[in-house]
Amino acid sequence: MKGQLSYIIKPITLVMIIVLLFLLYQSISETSAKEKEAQKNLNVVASTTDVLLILSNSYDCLAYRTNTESIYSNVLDLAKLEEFSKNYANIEPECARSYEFGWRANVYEIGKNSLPTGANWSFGTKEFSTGAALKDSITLSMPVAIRRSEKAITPGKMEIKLVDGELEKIAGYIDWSCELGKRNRMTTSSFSVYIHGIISYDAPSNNLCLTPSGSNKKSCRQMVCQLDFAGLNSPGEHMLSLSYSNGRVAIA
Amino acid sequence: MKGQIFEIFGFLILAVAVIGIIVLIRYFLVGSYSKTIMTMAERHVYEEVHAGVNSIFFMTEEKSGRSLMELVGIAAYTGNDTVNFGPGIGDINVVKELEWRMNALYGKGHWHVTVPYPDITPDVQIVMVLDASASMCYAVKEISERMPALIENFIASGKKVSATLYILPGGADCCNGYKLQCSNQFPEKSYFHCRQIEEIESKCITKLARGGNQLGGGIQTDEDYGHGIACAIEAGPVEEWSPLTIKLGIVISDELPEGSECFMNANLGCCPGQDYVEQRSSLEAGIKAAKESKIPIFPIQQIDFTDSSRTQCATICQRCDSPTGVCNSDLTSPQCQCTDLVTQYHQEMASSTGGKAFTLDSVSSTDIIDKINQIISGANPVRKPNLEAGSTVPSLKNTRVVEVLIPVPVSGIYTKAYVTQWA
Repeated sequence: MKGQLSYIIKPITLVMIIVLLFLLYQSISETSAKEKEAQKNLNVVASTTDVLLILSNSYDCLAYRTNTESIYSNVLDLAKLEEFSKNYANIEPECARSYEFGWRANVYEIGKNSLPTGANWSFGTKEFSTGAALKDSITLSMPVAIRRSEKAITPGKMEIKLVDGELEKIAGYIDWSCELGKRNRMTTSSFSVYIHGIISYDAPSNNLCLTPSGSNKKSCRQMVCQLDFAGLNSPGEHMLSLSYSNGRVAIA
Repeated sequence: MKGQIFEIFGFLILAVAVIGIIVLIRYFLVGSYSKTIMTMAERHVYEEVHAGVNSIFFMTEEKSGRSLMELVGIAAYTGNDTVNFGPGIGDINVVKELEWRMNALYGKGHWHVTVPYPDITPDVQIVMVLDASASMCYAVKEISERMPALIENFIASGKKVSATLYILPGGADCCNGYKLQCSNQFPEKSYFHCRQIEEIESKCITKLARGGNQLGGGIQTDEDYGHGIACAIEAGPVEEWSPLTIKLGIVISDELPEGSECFMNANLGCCPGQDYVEQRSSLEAGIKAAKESKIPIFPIQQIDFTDSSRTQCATICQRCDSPTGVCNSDLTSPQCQCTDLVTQYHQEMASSTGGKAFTLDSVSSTDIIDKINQIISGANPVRKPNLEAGSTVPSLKNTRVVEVLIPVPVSGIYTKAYVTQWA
């Protein structure tokens, strides 16, 4: 009887151990995936703060610089704001470009009643990934001063919407390759991307567009270089090969 | 049987261990993730506070065009939250300027600013207006000979004083060898200047406008010190008004503004007070200008009579006729009889503007410089120990403090602004 019982218990114990080990494995995999996801979220928050700081503190971006080369942190030059609104109406300025994310900034002036005066300036990309292609999005702001003239520096806020999505990722990588190609630092590269939708390229407007699965609404981003690209006509994982030549990026 | 029980126990221990590992992994992962998220969020908030503080001190105030850093520095220099830029710009309350900007950026009730004021003796700027009638001959001599030395003493003791004396229209020769005018009689120093009031009339024409049946515009007589001080305040001293200084006005006269003559007739004696329309108009113009600019007026009056009944005017050699060299005493009955009314006018001028009226002992008194000494010595405003703005810092909240170095003008020293922010 003893021996017979042992014959039943041992296999059951073995099966239970296998189940437990499977649970352990699954838990480790799940937490690892969660950690990666959390890391991405952290990157989004950190990148948003970084972009805000670069925009308001860098002379190459919006920070005011005197004739004696002194740079005023968080004091935005009105002339630069006007210039950015005009030149970067659809694309992020190079001085604060993030090749992982897309963003749009809005700077507005605040009056004595703590309300916006109506004066505002916007720049950066206008459209972002939507639907399943949108991973994460955050909007943060930072106080700034707007320098209209030497004797007129007024309070304002710079608000930024930063988006982590598939369109931003693909466009970012292509723009990054383009910038490196322009500097002769990288002419060919390849990367894999997973998309929830289809990617198309409109050459006349130099826009890369993503239409998410189950939707007809395209989101488009202006590109830095002209592309030779037929688009990606099916959702799923794709391996892209890029080569830069004479200001154009060919994607196969 | 024993062995099987041990096997089951062994399995249970293994199961508990595996479940424990799963729980621990999840606990530590979530814990470290939450901590990191908090760190990132806190970093953004800190950068936000820092950016706000940086930008606020560079923002400019509308009327003066000065940055808040300059205004706070000036407030620290004068020891007063309100900075006076003189006529035109007027007062600027630094706390209010900070408040609306901080409220706009951080929200009301979420911030506090404190700036310790260093212990500094601020500079003193004085505009003086001197009646140019002959009874003031003694004053021209005293001021010319002793005023520069008086100021030098103050400067030597660490109190930087400067004065501009404006002499009303006149120019008669005095028996003491002086003339009732500036030219060649007053040493021109960096801290002491004498100018004829006519030189600045164009700068203060609005202060001299009159209505009704009164005399026309401009400074009318050699005693028109009401309009004279209004004009001097508007035009400022030769070096112009500075927001960093204590500003004082001094008028020296023994008559009513525009003269004590009743209806401009020397033979009528001193009128009842209400008959002096022109004189009151001049007095009120002076008071109005001083109050608008928050400059206290210190009138100095000499005594013209020699007897207690005030009927005996002092007889002294004042004006010296040219070319005969005959000396005249110009003191007439209206001047002596109006002494009390003049005192009343002077006291009204002083009390309305925050100043003090002084009376000299007698005609040709030499204590005029002593009185000016008293006025300057007393110019020590009560200094606030620090600037405080915003709400009280809560004791049980997570706060962020940013320090900003504030240069204090002229003094060559710095103070700090401590900005505290909380959610």
